[in-house]
Amino acid sequence: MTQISPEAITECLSTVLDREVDTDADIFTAGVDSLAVLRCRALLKERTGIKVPGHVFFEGRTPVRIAELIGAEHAGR
Amino acid sequence: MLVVEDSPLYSPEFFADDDPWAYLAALRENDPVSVHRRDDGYEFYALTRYADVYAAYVDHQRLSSAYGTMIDGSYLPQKDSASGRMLIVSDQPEHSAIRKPIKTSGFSRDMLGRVGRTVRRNIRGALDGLSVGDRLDFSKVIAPELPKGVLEVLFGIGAEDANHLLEATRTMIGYRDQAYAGARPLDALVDAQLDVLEFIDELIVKRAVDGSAEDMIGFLAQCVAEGTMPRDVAVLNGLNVAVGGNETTPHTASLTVHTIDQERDEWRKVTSGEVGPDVATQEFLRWTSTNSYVQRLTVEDFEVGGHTIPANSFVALWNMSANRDSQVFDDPDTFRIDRPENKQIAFGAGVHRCVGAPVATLEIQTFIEELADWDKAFAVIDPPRRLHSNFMLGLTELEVEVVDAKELGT
Repeated sequence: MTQISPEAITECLSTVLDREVDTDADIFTAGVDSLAVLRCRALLKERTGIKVPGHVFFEGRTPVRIAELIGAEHAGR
Repeated sequence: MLVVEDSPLYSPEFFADDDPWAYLAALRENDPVSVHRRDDGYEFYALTRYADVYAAYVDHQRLSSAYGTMIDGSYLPQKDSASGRMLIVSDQPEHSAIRKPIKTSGFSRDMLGRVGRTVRRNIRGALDGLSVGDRLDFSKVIAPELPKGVLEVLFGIGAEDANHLLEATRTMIGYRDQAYAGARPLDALVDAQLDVLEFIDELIVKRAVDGSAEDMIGFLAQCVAEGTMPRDVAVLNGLNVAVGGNETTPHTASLTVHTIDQERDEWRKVTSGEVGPDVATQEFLRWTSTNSYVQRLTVEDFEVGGHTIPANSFVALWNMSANRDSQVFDDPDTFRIDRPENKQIAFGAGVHRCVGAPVATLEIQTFIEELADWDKAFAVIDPPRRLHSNFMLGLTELEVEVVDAKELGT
């Protein structure tokens, strides 16, 4: 229940950016900025109940890696 | 032209622990236009004379703001992601289109009056709560009262929300300083920035529904509701105003208290009524120069001070150096509280001159008036700790003791 899949992240990003994003694409090269992270994070929270800290997006950069980091953050608690 | 490898102007430590004023004074005297490099390849041209800094400010056609106004704001000549959408990083014509609604809704005469009353109430309340013998860190206890009142009025929020916003913007700008950001500074920066964006976004959504446009955020929310301004633009500029207002005047207030402590004879001219608080405010603004520089990028060759800066170069306009230029200020390294015709350039010049300058000036003047009327005074008891930043000159610690004003003869 504390997991978010890479696909859940790409679905939210696609909604925000209005185009498809690969699970292993660098989201910042793909045009994501702070506001897009903000909107994506809000959607994730709505759909999963988990509020992802902003720095996880910037550290992870790809949906796969972001999902891993979210798992690690929750496992560490 | 002088080229400085590994320039100290990049170093937050140099600004916190050394003497950047003296370093810039030597440049101004011998090499008013110079190049500053860092080992990772970043370089900028430094303008240090008033005339050159002014010329660069007003030539907004050739000197773009869109590439970030801080060194490292964007790495290499690449546009800031908010360029064209957020005031401080926009060029014409977008700049004027954004500035107008902000100026009329946030910084009109009516708003200035409301801000002034709120700021005065907050400062007076804070000072009245102090007793002779109290010891406190002025930079943390009193200084934030200045922007708090501005936020309350411009954003239509309560004191608690204003404090939350203040804390977040403080982390954003001071993220290189451990006092604010802790052990993982970049994480703290990113998280704090998202917190501010989220707060403002939610505020705009809420205010778009309630329909009142009597403050800046309410007005921007109505623009969003009517479709005349994209929601992202409203959010980004809310962020711009919050950061610009929060992270400047508290530092100016702390530096003002420190200056008064060192310049009692000058300060007495204000408490005695010999010098007006408006005149004194201008000298405090010149002397403190809280925002040390801003950066531009040349989009064409730019001739300045007898040199040509090639297109595609970063240029830093050193306000703090211009404010000590002997060509413009008599005896520039002396604090003269009654300095006549003070042309201080602390807020910049031209179309990008700080949109909040009237409010910031009002905050400082109100603070000075309240201090002058107070029957007590602040005596600095420890050497202050300076902010680790080359962009904002400020204090992260200013230990003071409250004393009877008569004791100091003020």
